Amino acid sequence: MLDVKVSERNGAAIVALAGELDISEVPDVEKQLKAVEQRRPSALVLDLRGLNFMDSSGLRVVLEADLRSRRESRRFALIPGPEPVHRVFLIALLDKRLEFIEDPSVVEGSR
Amino acid sequence: MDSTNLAEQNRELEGVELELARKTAIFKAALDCIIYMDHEGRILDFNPAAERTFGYKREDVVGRYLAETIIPPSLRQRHWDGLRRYFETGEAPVLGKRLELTGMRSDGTEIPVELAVIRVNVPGPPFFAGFIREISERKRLEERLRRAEERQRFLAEASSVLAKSLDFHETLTTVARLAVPRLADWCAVSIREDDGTVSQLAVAHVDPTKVEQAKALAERYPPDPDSPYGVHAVLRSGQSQLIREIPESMLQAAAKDEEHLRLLRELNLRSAMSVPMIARGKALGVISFISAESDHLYDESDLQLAEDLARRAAIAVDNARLFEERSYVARTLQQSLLPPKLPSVPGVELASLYRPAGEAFEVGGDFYDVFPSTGRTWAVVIGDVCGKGPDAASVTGLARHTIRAAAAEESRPSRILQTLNDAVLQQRTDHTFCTVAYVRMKSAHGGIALDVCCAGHPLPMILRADGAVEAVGAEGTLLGIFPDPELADRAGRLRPGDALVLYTDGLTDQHGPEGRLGRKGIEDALASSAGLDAASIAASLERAVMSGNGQPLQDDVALLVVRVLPADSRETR
Repeated sequence: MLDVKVSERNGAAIVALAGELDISEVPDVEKQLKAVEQRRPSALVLDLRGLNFMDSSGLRVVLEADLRSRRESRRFALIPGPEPVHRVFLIALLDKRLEFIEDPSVVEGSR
Repeated sequence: MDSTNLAEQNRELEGVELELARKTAIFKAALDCIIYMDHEGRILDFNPAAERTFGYKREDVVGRYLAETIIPPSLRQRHWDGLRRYFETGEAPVLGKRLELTGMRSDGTEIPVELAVIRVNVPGPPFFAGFIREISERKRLEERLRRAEERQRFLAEASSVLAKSLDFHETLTTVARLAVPRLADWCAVSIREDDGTVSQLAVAHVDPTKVEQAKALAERYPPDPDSPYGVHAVLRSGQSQLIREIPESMLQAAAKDEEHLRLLRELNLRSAMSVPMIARGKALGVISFISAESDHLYDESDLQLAEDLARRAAIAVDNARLFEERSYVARTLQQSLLPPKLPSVPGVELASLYRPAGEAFEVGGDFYDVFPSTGRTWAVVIGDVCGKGPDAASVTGLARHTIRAAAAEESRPSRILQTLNDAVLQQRTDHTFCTVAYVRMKSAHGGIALDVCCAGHPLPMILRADGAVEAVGAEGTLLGIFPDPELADRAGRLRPGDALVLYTDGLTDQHGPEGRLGRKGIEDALASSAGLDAASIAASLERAVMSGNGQPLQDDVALLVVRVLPADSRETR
């Protein structure tokens, strides 16, 4: 079960995920992310603090959002989730490839 | 007598005569039967409607006992008991109520009737007036309505049965059993197999011994494929057949000999329907309904129901067949993506586990491989492609083959995985990625030297002979997304009795009784397997992951165990 909350702060879109992100939730999350991206926010923040599980399919969603953001010249950042979730990124050394931030204010007003 | 009295008397008489005339008119003209009965049960009067309904003339029944005329033998005792009870206790439950009973005509036929009885008080013992209506027609309509409701209920039940299972043998057998005895005394389902032969899938009757008899009969006298009636004919034409009343001539035509004819007659077949199951324009089989003991003669509405059922059954069979085909394809594909069996590696015992999650027709994304490599080394690899289905499967195939090819040229695991990374990047445009753990093993003095590289994959674990558990290798970037993944080789060592365990995250992510197994869960399961052989270690991990409250696997699980044989067993090799 996954809960997706979208909010906006000073031009940056914040997508907060809560619950479990696995293969069954992927289509819905992707749809919502793309809807947010269409509104051309200056930055996109994925808040993972509410997640208690994420597997490789969730990772793929994140990687693709990152690739899209790069293509569309948009800043993309993640707020790390709890240890079991963040570990997925650490095992793949993605903490060095993706931007992880403390809270959304870091990206507000960015270009 | 004076004139006023006479006039009054005359007027009274006129009034009475008028009254009498009216009542006589009612009695004679009433559509319902009116029968008067005295306190001893004898018929006092019998109106023309009663004459018509029961087939007696008034003068033939007046004075005779009701019980001996219009009451059927089975109900006579009740009638006498009721009369006696009334006169003994004053109680008569039948008075003032509308009852449904059976009456009997003069020719002995029994008819359903509706009855109301009242007591008429007169000086002396009372007599009874009964108003009777024949309700055969109403009963017939009620029966038809009941049958129609029964049919709808049956159809709803059958539909839910058909939707439940993808094993069509099982479903059709259940449907045949459901049809009996509600729709038919006998129900048989035949299927056309892939090779064109027609086989009887299910036969149902309430009495299982009769089913055996019917099967034996069919075996001894198989149906004639050229007959204009029956399963073969319906399959050929794609049209239903309704035989409202099975004539003797049909039995004779079907019978192959006297004995056969006798057996057929014994079955008491009265009426039959055969309907084809058609899906996507093809006749897949036939459902046959036969009425025997229940004496029901099938009509158009029965046939419509049968055809409706056959339509739904056909879709279920078609879907089940498609599912089976896809499962077969997937299983075959899956088999081709796995090493057919683990090779024999000197000095080492191997065990593996592979459990794909998901439906039987989905191909999993986990893979593993064990193969000889350059410089008298062995490679042990495990990987996980993100995704399911044919896309993931093709990357799985790409991964295994690229790794093997690269390993023939290059000895360093990090270089081999870099090659794989480039291959996936180049050949895929959909951001499919994979994680891999690659271990190169070389026989070294007193054990096996390991060279480990992990790309985005959980680090392999080593279970030492003394029960200690540790990880080996360094984390690396997953493959197929970035052109410059970080990949590092790390050394390790296995001594005799040590075991190396490679696994995919399906193992750690599976829900157990206390939440996900996690790395800790794996470590604990391994620690408790100290000293066991490779197969037992694999089994112990399998138990740990499968014991989670019977939940289906959420993700594929693959694992490889490589154990260095303990010193004493090695020497005997």
